Amino acid sequence: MDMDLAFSGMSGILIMLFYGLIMLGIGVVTYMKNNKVHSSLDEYYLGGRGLGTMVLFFTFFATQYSGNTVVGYSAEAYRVGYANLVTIPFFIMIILVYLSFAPRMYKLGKKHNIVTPVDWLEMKFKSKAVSILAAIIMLYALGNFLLEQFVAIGQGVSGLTGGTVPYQAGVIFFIIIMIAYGWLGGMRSVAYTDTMQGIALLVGVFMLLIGTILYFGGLPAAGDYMRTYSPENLGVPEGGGLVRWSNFLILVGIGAAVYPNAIQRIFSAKNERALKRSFTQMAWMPFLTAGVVFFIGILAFTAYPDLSAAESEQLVGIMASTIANQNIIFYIAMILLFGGIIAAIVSTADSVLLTFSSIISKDIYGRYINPEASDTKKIHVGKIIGVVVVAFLLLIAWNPPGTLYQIFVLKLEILIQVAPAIILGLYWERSHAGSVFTGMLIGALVAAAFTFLGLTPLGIFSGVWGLMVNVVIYVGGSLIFGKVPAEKSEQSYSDGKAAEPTRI
Amino acid sequence: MKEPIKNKKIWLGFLAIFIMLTPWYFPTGGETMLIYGVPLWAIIIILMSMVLSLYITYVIRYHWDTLDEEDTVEEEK
Repeated sequence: MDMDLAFSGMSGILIMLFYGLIMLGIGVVTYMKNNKVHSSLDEYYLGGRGLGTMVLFFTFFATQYSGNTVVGYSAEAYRVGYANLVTIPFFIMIILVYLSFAPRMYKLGKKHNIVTPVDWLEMKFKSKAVSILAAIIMLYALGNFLLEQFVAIGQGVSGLTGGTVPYQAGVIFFIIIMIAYGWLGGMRSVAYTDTMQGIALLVGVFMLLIGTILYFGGLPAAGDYMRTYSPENLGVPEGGGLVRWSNFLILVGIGAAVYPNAIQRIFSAKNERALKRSFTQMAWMPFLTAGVVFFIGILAFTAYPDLSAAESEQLVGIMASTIANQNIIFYIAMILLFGGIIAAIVSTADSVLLTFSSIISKDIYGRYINPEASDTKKIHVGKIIGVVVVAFLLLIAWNPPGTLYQIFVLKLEILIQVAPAIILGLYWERSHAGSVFTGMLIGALVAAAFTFLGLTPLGIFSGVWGLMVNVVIYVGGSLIFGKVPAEKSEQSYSDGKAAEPTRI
Repeated sequence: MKEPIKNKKIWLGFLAIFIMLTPWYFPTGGETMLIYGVPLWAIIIILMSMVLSLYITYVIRYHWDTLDEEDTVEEEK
């Protein structure tokens, strides 16, 4: 489908520059206001553990919702119809999973100066094998996640500007901006830019919904249309569809909650009150984001009933352009949406990169290579390795290697294998390090093998299979080899003996 | 000190909501009933999602209190 995009040509380039400069500006201001930001890991990676409710909320928001939520999920809703409604509850499930571990994780983080999730595992299990394996899994998943965001930035920029800004130029421009503000202010810059990015996205998506209803017709029209032309898109999922539905709730709920960058945000909270308020707000966001995006995809059906799968991927771009051409208010609103989508991708990427660097700084370099190094030095090493990895991922984003490409697809499936150690480890004193390690390793291998072979026995996702094997080994092994500590587990809330800081 | 995970009743509530969040209990086949253009089953799933959000809000408000600041200060003494 060819049509004139409202943001092709000069206006597209100006919008990109404008958003980029705002982000950079936020980085510079943050740096000037916090000149000791590079003095300690806490300051740089956790914003000095001082994020208040609003900023904390937006940084959780930006980490959880990427540009893909808007672009990809509306296209998906357009293609499969109401079966894709599962996107609303699965985002709520993430908050439910947080409730199972965040309260205690926050307290422990504050008490023992935990900076990364691996720090916590090291403190709990005191096992080099567990810590290193978990660090590798997290770095691997984060790297792949970052790669996905880079590709999304390039496609987003070139797609939304109708190709005026080429894929490569878009990627390079925003990566440089992102690294620059990240280096300047660390977590604070990331969180403040997340706030600006989140607001732009929310306003933009909401205006897109209003524009869609005004110019393409509302839900009754869409419902009648679908009933006539594709009644299957209205039906209840059954059989395999139901298994898929519940798998999504589990895999996304647990997987997204244990993203290391998500966990780090728990440590960044200023106090428990800020954390509780942010979570409460997050519990309602799926209706305003995933829900709105879902209905935009459904409403699009009336206006563009015959898009192919590839064309439907550009649904949001096509709709935004049409709406922007109506009048000046919508033009401005669509600029916000447009920048918001790109900004949402950048803001997901920046938090991934920061967490990646933190694991390098604290868990690899700081724990095994040079434990004597100053925090400033550790931060420096984390930054440099981060840039090297970004450069490497850029090479892949440029020319995806045909057959190897699959190994860059694994993310949630493999990351979820650290969840038992992180969550169960918090509460089960009997947890046995050797079994935790074996479960994590076998679970990751099963998940990877099933993914590559395209196996989904009984319709259950590869990541969920890996998780089940993982938990069985963890629990079984701990029951056989684990020791119950002398004092009652209920008493040792703050993990009793493990009170000394994380050193080997 | 209150931690949501310690309270089994809370998790039974979550389990009940989780079961209702998967649309296994609707009749399949035949014409889907539309209300204002939206299938009835989808409306119920959206309502159940709201129940989950509401329940999470309730649990955070009334069952999560680990005495943040004072507690930390006390422990450090």
